[in-house]
Amino acid sequence: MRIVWKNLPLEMHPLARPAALAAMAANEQGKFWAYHDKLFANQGKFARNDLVRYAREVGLDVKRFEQALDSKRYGAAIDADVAEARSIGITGTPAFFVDGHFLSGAKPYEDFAKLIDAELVRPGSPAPAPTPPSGS
Amino acid sequence: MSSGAPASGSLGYVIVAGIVILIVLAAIGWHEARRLRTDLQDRLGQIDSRVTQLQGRLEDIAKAAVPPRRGPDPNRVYSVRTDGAPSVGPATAPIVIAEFSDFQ
Repeated sequence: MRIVWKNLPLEMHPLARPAALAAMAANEQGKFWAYHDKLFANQGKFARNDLVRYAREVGLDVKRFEQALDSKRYGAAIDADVAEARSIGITGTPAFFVDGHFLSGAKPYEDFAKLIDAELVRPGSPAPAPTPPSGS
Repeated sequence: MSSGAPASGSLGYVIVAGIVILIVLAAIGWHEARRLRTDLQDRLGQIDSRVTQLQGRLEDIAKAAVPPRRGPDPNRVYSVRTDGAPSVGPATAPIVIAEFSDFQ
């Protein structure tokens, strides 16, 4: 299984966009998920010095991180995600797509399991390996 | 009992008149009751048709009040762009979950 993060900073969350810019700057250095976890562990504390501190804490090259953050290097990428979300009709976060099938909001595990099982048996999809491939 | 004959004669008239009056009253009463009944039946019919009309209107309103579906169609398969997006898991994974989210 692969999980893909798509940025959808909502306008009603004014700190979501700087956080998304920072997370993408961390992604540039291969540390997106560690930074993602930091942001979720420190909800709402997203002032610039906080964002830089988290970068240091997850072991990023802070100077390079700051350059990416301050120049809004990934602003266009975030805008593209937002535009894509809008064209699909997503109105809130989180919105999940399991192989393109929409699941809205925070859903119980069973909803994911149902969709994933359906995808695994879908004709044309790769047959599930007899032993689960490592890393999925 | 010579004076009884005219008295019984007039009593007979009175009785006949009374019976006639009773018959007339009964006829009036019967007619009135029939008129009332048809009246009531008419009104009931009107009320019935109004209720049916209102029921239809209510159903229309209820239909109109159902908000149009918001958000993506759960019965559609969307292709979400994944190039350049942060991800975890093998590129060849049989299942790809795309999460649109924010950090706040």
